[in-house]
Amino acid sequence: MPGCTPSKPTPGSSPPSASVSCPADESKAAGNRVDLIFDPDKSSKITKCEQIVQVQFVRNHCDNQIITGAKYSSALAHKDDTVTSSDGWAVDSLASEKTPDYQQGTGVGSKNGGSTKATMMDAPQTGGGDKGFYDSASNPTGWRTVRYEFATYGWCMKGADCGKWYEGSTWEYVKTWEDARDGKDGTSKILERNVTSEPSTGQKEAFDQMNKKKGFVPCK
Amino acid sequence: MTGSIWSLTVEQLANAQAKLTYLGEQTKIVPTVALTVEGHKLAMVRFLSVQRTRKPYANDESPYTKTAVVSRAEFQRLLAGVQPIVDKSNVQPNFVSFTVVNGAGAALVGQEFFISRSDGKQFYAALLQALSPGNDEARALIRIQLRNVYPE
Repeated sequence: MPGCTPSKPTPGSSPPSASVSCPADESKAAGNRVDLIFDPDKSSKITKCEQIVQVQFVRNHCDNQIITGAKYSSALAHKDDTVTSSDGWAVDSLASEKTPDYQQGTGVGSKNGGSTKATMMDAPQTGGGDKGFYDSASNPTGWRTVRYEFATYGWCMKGADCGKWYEGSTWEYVKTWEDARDGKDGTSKILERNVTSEPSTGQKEAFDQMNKKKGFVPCK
Repeated sequence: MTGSIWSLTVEQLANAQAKLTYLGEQTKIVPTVALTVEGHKLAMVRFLSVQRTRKPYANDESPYTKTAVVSRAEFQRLLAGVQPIVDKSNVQPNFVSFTVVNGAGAALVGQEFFISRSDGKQFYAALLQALSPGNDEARALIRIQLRNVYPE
């Protein structure tokens, strides 16, 4: 299991441990499933928050092309140009949802006196979208590799820190045409557990686009 | 396992439960919706004995599964309403799984059906039609799943 970012040695101090703790220490991936855990007690950014949620951004790479969810599959039609940034990021949400938090009330964390971890689970699945996966006989123009790129950040939805971004994680889900041929689900893998920078410009653009479309005003 | 779910009487549906599991394209989990008759506590594990894979779907294992209670009469209407739609063979398991069980042990009766994308709207309409107008909770959960599997 990859740890958090290794600590930097301080002159004169004892050697650093292999890794330092970070909010996503307990996150794990197996098969196509991921469980992402944000432990507020291991965050260096939190002051106080009544509702800690996770906001997940997703970007679709199909044979190394970035395309919107809507162009990839009619089953992802709500992830169209109106909620996708110029560099392909969208908030990972369902069509029925009105707010950008992945939790939607389940697994909400807090740090407000005591603390509670924010938890979430995902399990991407794909059959290659509308175009399908490559098969030399039946679908020679299908996709050979589909990769969903994810960035998942802790975010304060209510309380003193409302609107503040906390640490994040990045992960990916990959399914190849060989996986499809062999009846496999594809594989999820955590890439980085301790992203300390805020979401990228494109991710924030997608966040604003979704909120505008859904009429959600953070911290109002 | 004996008998057929289609021949069960209202009286026999004492511990009936059904679930709707989305199996299609997703980057985020589409919550499974489970329906259980009044007075019966849902046990997801019971579905496995009739599921073709015999192992849980990822969406069924998520903490986002939603449950609503229906009356036995609603459950029977629901079965009657969807039977003409689900009673098809050769449907690929790539859109929605509809699984029903009743009874226990040797008397357990149940079946898993796969709904195609082309039949899905008719299927959800039949479910909604079977529910009492006052069963807001079940109707809302089914409408939400419908919205999420047919996004626009």
